[in-house]
Amino acid sequence: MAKKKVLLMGKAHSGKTSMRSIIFANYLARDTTRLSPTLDVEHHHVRFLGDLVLNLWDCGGQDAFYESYFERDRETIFRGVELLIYVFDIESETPEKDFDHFCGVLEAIEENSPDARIFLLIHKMDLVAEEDREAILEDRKQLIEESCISCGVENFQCFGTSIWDETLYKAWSEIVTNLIPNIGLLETHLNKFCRICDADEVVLFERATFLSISYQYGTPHFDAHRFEKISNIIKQFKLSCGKAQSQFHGMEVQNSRFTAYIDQFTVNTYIMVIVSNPSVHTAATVWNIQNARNDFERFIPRV
Amino acid sequence: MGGDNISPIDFNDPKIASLPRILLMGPRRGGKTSIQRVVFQKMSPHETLFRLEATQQLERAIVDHTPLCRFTVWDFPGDYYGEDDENNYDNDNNNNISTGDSVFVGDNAATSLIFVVDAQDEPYDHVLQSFTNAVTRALELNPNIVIEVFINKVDGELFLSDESKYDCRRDIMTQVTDELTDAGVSPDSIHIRYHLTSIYDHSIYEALSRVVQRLIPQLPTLENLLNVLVSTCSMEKAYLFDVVSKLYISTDPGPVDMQSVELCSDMIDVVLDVTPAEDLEEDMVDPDSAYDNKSASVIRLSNGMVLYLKEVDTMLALVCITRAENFRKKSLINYNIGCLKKALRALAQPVPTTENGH
Ligand SMILES: Nc1nc2c(ncn2[C@@H]2O[C@H](COP(=O)(O)OP(=O)(O)OP(=O)(O)O)[C@@H](O)[C@H]2O)c(=O)[nH]1
Ligand SMILES: Nc1nc2c(ncn2[C@@H]2O[C@H](COP(=O)(O)OP(=O)(O)O)[C@@H](O)[C@H]2O)c(=O)[nH]1
Ligand SMILES: [Mg+2]
Repeated sequence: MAKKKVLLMGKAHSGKTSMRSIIFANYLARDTTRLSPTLDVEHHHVRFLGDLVLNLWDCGGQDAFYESYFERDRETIFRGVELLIYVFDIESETPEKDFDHFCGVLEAIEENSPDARIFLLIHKMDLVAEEDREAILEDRKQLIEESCISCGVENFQCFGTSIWDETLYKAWSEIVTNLIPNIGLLETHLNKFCRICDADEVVLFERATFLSISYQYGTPHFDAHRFEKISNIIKQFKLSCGKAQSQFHGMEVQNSRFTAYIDQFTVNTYIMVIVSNPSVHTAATVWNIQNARNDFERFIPRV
Repeated sequence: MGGDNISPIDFNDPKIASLPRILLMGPRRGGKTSIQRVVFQKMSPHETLFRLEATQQLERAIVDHTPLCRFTVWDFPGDYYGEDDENNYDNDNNNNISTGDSVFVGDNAATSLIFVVDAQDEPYDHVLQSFTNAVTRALELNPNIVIEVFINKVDGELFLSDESKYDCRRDIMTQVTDELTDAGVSPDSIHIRYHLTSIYDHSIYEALSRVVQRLIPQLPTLENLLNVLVSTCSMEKAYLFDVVSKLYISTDPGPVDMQSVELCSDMIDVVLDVTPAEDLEEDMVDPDSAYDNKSASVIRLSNGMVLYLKEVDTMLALVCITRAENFRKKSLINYNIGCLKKALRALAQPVPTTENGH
């Protein structure tokens, strides 16, 4: 079992705890208004794909804490980090101040965990009017990029996010797939499976979070946010099932053009298969999924 | 901002004027516009926090996705209760309502008055005074008007427990009775339904479903049809949902359990999001293409239940809950649903308008 240390940083009230609670603790977005500010560092161990353990360090963002992060606890905090997730609040009143801490954090990371992967989330994008979102996001990305480069950091990924839509799932899918060892093997086999099924698309979701961890296609569709939307909606549906004292097992959806199957796959995953070829019979697809289960158990990376 | 995405509709067109009406009235910031936007225009509840301004003039919208569930929604400015009733409220667009008409009296149309109260804004006495005034005036003009009270915003810190919601409802009911008695109206002569609602959860859909059901003239027939289906196919429960608004317009006469309605309604979201939309051309998709006349879905649950959704009319879905062992004879179920579908189609044929829309 491998523990991966993930640092979650950013100013107070930027939304760190909210995101973590939704992705890993089955919160609904509206429940996050009840969260109280994080004091100091909260440690959380969350399991992912069975035996991957994410050791989340949710670092309270009030200015006072940073002194100790940077001085007394510098090594404790910044050593052995696999992933740094730094959250910017799009509505921040003092963006300059955000950057002060940000550069300090980058320096400390470079010094103590030079191999850490860096993810920057520009959060609460829902507060920006939809028509301005893209432009404002680009603008802010530019600023952050400059700031990174001035600190000597060149490898990072930047996402606009909001707990109120599927962008949250997009960012976190990217983030966690980075922690899955050997994911290439899984992808190769999933791709083969996609072709065997004559499927348009095959997506693998992690069971607990419903984050998508791999996507393979025969015929791609253009709706860019689809899987994130599906993650979001199925996760919520699973919560509704829970309220009705039951659990979601699997589903089939069809219309005149497609049939989609979502089913429990391996112990720690769900699979979605989308077929538009009318000559592929439902029974065949179900049978294929059934038979691939045991095989795939072996390809899900073990740590 | 309000209303900018509503294309001009002629509300005087007799076809539209004769549709059932839902009037939203109540104090400022009670949540009328939010309710309208969340349920009928798919605004996320959270967006209402910062995207809505006070409503300045009457905003009307038509809900017309499926033939059996058609009506208009009238969102009034806060604290307007039809006082200066002769058309003045409608001066934003020139299409006046036929003269002499009151907002409370539809053209042959069933009318429902929803009074939206902000549960988080105590005390209620002033608001409930306006309510009794509005109700007495409305009933004078239209004795058939249906009166509904939405006790809205029962969410957040103040309403964590169900008890607190029931307490609030009891308070309001008692105060209304007192007010009516003071006004010299016998409270028993007026039938008022009270609903506890919040735009943040399913309660608003439940309440509006019940309001809409009352406006549908074919309701008894629909209930009958569903009853037959449920008993022939040994189902636990069956609902007819307007796919776009997610309101259910009818169910079999068996007891309704909120949790199961919510699950069925959530299923609709899942179905729409999972189905890939049609690619029109590069980067363009047609969002309405997900639901068509072949739409169907099965969800299996761990407690041995199956949720089965099937298209039965344009944007109308039958969603049933059945035990897995009773779901084996799927072709028989589909045959019966086919019969239901035919019956629904016949029902939805426009009835030659004789006297009254009821
Ligand atoms: N907590 C909570 N807030 C709500 C609810 N419904 C509406 N609100 C909030 O109440 C505020 C006022 O909502 P509006 O929909 O503009 O109220 P209105 O009744 O149309 O107001 P006027 O147009 O001025 O009459 C908004 O900030 C909404 O977000 C609810 O169910 N719960
Ligand atoms: N509008 C909006 N509010 C958010 C979002 N994410 C979090 N919030 C709110 O921001 C507040 C602070 O969040 P919290 O997670 O405690 O921040 P932390 O101090 O960084 O852990 C809460 O009231 C959340 O409901 C978002 O994406 N959009
Ligand atoms: Mg309003």
